[in-house]
Amino acid sequence: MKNFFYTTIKGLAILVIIGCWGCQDEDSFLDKKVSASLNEQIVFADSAYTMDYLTAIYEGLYFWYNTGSSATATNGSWSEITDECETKWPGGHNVPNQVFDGTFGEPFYNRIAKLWSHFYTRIRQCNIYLENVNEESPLSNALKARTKAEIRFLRAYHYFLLMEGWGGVPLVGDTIYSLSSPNLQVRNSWAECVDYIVSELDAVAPMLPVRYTGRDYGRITRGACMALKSRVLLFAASPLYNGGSPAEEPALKELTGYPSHDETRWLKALQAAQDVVNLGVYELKTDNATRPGNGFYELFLERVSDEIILARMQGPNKQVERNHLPRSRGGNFLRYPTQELVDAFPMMNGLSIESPGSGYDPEDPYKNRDPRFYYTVIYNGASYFKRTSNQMEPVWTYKGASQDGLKPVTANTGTSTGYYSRKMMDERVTGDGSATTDRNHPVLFRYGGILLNLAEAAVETGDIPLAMEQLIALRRRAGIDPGADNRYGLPADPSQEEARQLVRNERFIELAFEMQRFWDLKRWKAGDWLDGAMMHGMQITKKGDEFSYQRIETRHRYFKDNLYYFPIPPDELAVNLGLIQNLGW
Amino acid sequence: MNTPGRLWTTPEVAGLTNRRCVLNLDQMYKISTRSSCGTSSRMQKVLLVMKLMTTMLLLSILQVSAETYAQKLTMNREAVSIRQVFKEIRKQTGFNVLWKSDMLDASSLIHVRFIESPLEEVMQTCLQGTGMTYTVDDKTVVIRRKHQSRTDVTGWELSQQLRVSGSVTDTTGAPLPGVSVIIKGTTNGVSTDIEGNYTLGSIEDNAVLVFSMVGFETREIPVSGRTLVDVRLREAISEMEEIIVVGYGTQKKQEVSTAISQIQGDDIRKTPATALQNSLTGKIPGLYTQQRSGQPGAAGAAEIYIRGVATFTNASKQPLILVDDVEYNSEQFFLIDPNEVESVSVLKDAAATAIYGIKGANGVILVTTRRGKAGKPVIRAKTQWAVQTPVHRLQPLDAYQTGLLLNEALRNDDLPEKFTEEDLELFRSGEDPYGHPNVDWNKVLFKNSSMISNNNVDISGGTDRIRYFVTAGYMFRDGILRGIDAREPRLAASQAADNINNNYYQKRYKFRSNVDIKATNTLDFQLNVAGTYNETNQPEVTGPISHVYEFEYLTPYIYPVYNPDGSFGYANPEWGEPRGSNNNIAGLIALGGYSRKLNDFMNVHLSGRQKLDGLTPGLSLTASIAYSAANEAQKNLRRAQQFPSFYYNPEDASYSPRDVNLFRIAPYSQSYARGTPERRLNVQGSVKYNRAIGAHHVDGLVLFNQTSGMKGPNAPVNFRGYTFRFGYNYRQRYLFQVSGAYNGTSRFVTQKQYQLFPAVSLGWNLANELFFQDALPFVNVLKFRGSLGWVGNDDIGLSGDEYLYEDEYGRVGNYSFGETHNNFEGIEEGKQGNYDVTWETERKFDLGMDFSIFNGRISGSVDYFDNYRYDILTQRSTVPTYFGVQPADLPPVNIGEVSNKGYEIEIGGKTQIGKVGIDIKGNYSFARNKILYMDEPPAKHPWQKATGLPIGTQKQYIWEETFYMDDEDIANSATPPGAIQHGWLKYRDLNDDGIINIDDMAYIGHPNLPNTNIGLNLGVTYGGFSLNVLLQAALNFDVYTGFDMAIPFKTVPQPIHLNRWTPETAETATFPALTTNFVGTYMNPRGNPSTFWTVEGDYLRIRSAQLSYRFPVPLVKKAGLENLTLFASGYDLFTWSKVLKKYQFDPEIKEGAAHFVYPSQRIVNFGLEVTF
Repeated sequence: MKNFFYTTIKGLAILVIIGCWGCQDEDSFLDKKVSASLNEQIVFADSAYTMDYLTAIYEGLYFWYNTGSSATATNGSWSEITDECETKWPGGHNVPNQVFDGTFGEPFYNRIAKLWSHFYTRIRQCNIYLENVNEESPLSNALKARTKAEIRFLRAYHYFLLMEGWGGVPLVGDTIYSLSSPNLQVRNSWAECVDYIVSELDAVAPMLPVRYTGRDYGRITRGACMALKSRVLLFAASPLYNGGSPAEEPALKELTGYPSHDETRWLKALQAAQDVVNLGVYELKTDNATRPGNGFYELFLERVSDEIILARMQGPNKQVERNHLPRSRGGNFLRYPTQELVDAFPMMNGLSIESPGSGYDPEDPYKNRDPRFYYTVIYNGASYFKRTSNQMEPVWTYKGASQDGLKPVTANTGTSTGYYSRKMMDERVTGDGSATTDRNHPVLFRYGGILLNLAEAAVETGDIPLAMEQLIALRRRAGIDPGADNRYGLPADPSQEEARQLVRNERFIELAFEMQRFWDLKRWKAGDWLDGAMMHGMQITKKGDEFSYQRIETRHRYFKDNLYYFPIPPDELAVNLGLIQNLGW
Repeated sequence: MNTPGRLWTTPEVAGLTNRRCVLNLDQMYKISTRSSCGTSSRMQKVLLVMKLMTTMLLLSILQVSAETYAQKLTMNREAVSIRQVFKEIRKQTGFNVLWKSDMLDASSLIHVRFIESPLEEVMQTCLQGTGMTYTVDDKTVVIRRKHQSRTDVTGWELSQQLRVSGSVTDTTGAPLPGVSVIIKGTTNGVSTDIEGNYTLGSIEDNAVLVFSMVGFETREIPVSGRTLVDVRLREAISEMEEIIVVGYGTQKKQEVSTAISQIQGDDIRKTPATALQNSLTGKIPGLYTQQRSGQPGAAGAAEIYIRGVATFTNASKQPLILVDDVEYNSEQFFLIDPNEVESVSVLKDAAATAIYGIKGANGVILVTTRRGKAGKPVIRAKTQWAVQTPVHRLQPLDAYQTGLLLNEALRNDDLPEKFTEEDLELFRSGEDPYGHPNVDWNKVLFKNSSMISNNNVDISGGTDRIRYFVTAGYMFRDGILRGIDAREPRLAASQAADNINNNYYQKRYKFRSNVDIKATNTLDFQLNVAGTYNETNQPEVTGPISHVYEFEYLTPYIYPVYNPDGSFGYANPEWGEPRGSNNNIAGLIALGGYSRKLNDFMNVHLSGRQKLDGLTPGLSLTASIAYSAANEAQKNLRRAQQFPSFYYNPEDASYSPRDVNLFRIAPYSQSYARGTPERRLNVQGSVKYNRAIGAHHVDGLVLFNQTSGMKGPNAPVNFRGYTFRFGYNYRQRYLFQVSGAYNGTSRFVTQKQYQLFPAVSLGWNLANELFFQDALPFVNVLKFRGSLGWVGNDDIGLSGDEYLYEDEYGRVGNYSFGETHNNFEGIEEGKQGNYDVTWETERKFDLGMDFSIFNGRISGSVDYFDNYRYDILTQRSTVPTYFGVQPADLPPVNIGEVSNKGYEIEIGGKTQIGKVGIDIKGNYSFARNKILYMDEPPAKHPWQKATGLPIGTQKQYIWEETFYMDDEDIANSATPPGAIQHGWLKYRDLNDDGIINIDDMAYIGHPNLPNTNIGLNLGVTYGGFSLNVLLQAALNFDVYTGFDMAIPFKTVPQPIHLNRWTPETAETATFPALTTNFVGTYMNPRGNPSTFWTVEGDYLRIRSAQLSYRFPVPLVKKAGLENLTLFASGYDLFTWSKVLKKYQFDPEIKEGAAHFVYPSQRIVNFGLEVTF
């Protein structure tokens, strides 16, 4: 054993030698090697990084639309569950399509939870900016003030998106939570949320310029604040929220709208819309000289526009073309119009297709329609640019037509309604070519929408002529014939109900595919009407050179009370018993 | 001084406790010296001894320390028998004592007190009063009568003398040098020479010869008057002498007190799988594998776990894999050619893995490659050809039945039928092959069988100074795509001109050169150089494998393969096109191009060992450096869908193009992308000590280990560790080992980089107790062992360039400000850091028992383990999301806890009945884990709690084993919201609220990983024939039917859909009523999984079978060969499984992915092995 101890000591000695050799660079060998990554201190100590941080919040500007943005925590614009369009995927792939059957499984909850989380992440990012851009920030004082105002708008915008989805939500103010913060926040009432957003917007609007030029174009303007305010107050005054929440329980009713109806909310909405108009910097893009409605068409193809109040800015792109054109134009036809949308377009004379004397011919249904129709819908025989032949060529959607012909509703290889969308598209751009358009896309607020807000509020406050005035402005720009009475097909003295329907229809067609329909139907509390409704398409049969038209049914719609508000994520409820779940979830 | 005594080996030092072996070694020594007497050349004597020594060294890697023993004796005992004194003489001096029983009563007792007494004194004391004297004849003390003359001695030895000679070979016919041949009852004998020959003179004709050698079974053969006795020795079935590869060294199996299983290369090679992991399945207790795909060379095709899994996050669950001390990742491991493997050791408990410290928690696999043996060069060539056929093949319904079912589904949905009666009749009759095609796409696209060829050449041999093992191999594994011709002249010309191979295949080129250099008598070097070049090919087109299952792509009636004019067919637009207007699949295969992945993996490992016996015997110093480099690249030849195909309308014989814009075949576009290079440099230095002093055996290891890893642009991953092991045993009876590692990793913050992972083990070899040997002499091994220790896992699922302890702000997306487009880059708060983040730790406890009885004819082991993994790095899920941190950005915290318990039983039996040798080995492994803590939000209902259940348990609805039969049934049952039809699945309403919704989903069933694995190996030998069959079963796991697997009209209709619910078949139906929009219903398994879609995965497989024939040696020798073996073997020959029966996919395939993977392949292999 003596030898063993002797050896052990020798062995240890050798180990010590090796160890010392190994330890000499102890500090560096296992320590962090690269330091390219950023952190809070680095970012806010650097003016360029600080501006990049702001950029990321713009990048995350969420929109209810499926154009492949990283911000789309859910797929789909929700418009495919309304009467606006049908979708390529007959279910399962996109959450909104689960809604067709009311089968809200785990994926639905998961996607909704992602959305909720996405918005609150944006709000936190905004708060981090507000806290860190302080006296020590290298930005100039003017820039600090302006960018903070931009940030406060963006925060308010994300709150509004939360309210659209869930009603009243927890307002976290300027808090940046640490992960060990107590989890005690409860939902604020609808009224508190509206007041908070409006007060924020009122506060920052004066601090922001009316217009940007050069490299700053596209940032938040005073007009954007006022447009958002108009939208918030329009929601606040709308039937669902203005005392119309389906919730019975008082606590939940207060969270999902005002507990009682109050007509004066429409006055506020009217004023907010009027304020945007009064700002005097926006106008409808009009060009009926080139061809009727050309202004309506080009409005979406411009990078700099007097009509667009706020858009999510991108470089030259073809997102909308690639996603929605038919196959023959290299597109994915993710969603395409229903017969309901097509029928909503009036004739060139402004009269609805049901009106006596409208001139509508069921055997030639696409003739002499509102010019906006031709810039919104690709119908059987409509011309669209074809890359391979390098010219405008008809798109054929009749039953049996090669590629773009009518398909069964369960297929996903073509339209099941006989239509494709072309709203906001550049007719020289196709899904398969390399051509793109340098445009704002998608548009979040535009002047045309503000006029519709104004018209709606005017109807509800009883000022029918003011409402009609806005519709006339829009129809004039659309290229509709003024008619002998110069009323563009509008009745001279409509009742309030008639005017309401006219305004709502105008909103449907003017803002088709602009991410509005689902939210409009919600706030109008139109669920009862939509639930169970069968959507339609047009089956066109070709015999020789003749076409015959037959309306066909496509799919039912689901819209029960639970669809007015999204479910609060179940895990969120599980960890905070103070949160109240929405109705029906 | 070069006296024989210097080279003496004492039995204790050699560590051979088997009493017979002790005797053998004694005899070997004595024999060698005696035979060298004839030459009386000192030099030759030494050489002979050295040969013996070499043999022993090969068998016992443990260094035998050489000690000088003076011929002096120390012994102090009262009443000791003379025999025992003589024994002691042998033990202490090495001198044997020879006597004849009529001369001396060796059992008579004497009192002795010797202290360093010379031999003469001892002998005189012993022989006092016996009238005997002695002579010392070359280390043998021969007792004789006083005054007896030399001639007398001869007479005394034997009256009838025979001279017997012969040769000793192993069962393969190879000569065995160094076998001791002893006359039974005496200590007389010789050992065989280098050719295995021996000669013994002066033998009585009724003598019995005992042939023995370490590692072989001892045989006793009566001479019966013969003069030629040839003997074959079988390798010892006793595993007592087996050497086990343990971490950073080897141990004798007897001395192992930890849970380690080892398998030899020959046993691995009995399974003809091309990848190593598939050859291990079912052979090692505690090793779980799942073969996820049968695609040649598919990465990640198999998963391999030791004792199941014990972590539920992204942390790696795969064991640490070391090949000759060089770390391999699992993909590199899968590329190892079984041919170059000497042994595989699986380290399971803490005492075995603690020396790997922070990397050992998931267990360790040690692969040892083959090395050369001194001798003339042995060239061994092995060629194998195999036929592979899919284990299963989907049998979809034909066009007629598909049409019937589709019409039925449309009727159920109140939609117009798709096909008319005439259409269906035409499908059935096949009279309109163009207008109403009926194509079996499996047959069109896939061959029934494909080929594997595998060729290897090894050269090994060497001298005392240099030994080498060099091997090179080429393996080609073909794929199942059928070659499809383009028939249209333009396309055919293009196809012929391009002449590319786009089939699935794998080509693997391997080489390895393992060289051992003995630089000086005390300094050895090992240089291992190994390389793999692997090429994996597949068609560039997406989905020939998956599309044959997918209704949206390929129905039996979608299009004919060719039109009448030879062009590729395309879908009838009236009936709808394939999804995404996918072009004709046959055309895509013919013209679509390939996607080829190239992998290189090279490693060099140099190690040197300096023996420091001069300092103190048994001490050595080892240093090694290993460098490995892996590269990958991707080469693609792509045409996408760019070739014309046409819908042919037989009514007017018109052709309509699929794409009116596409008039010609597009040229191929080529692309090449480099993958992520990976480098790893490992430096090790260690001091080892291994020594027996008398009955005490100690071994010690201290090791320094440092690795720098680099992978593409990721942050380097550095590791540094200090490892120690100290082992002690007393006469191999009482075993003690303490080991551990003090490890550090660069993945954590400086203050949290290092940790000590200790382990201790104890063992008791009951069978080595003398009293036990006396009582139960037929028990050769009975060992109890236990261990406890802590090990870590620092591979916690980092995606690469990140340090978990840091908060990170990251670059995200762009935004375009400006009146003209200006790209602005964004930055946002990214993942949050946790300063305290550290590795996972597992406490492993193991109790085991090994036994061997009847000379190893029955042997086995039993292990029980209780592992507790804690500090599992988990993302918290109770942080409210309104805090504004994305769940993915939440900092990981070390809070998860999992318990993993189980047991393993291995039992084997071997016997020889006449010429028939039988070898049966079975193992049973069970491992069940349970999540103890995982920061789960409070469950709304008790059945929605994952904590407390095995990892991976699925949350799902519970099918009531019935359907909604009619309106009344629907009205009286709980129902999901939304649409519901008669014949749909009825789920259980767990919370009794009348509505089936997410509240009714429960964690239920088994996870996808089996908790029980069974292997049964049967081997039979007869003469040159040997047959080996391996049965393997996995139990207690569920396979979840994925989205596309069985949903009608997502998958092509299968036989299971014929059993759908209809009002008429309501009682016997096994599948719900059909609907065209199944995915839109509550029954959709994606999102709404239920037990209806869950199938027990349990399977039993004939995993492999091998039949080989070894030609008789004389015959082979005539042909100038050493050995010639023919063999036939099979892999995955047969499978019993419910999954396979019900859904027609392999039970091992990853859940939810069945449609998209290449079917597992049954392999039938034929081979020839020649040794020169």
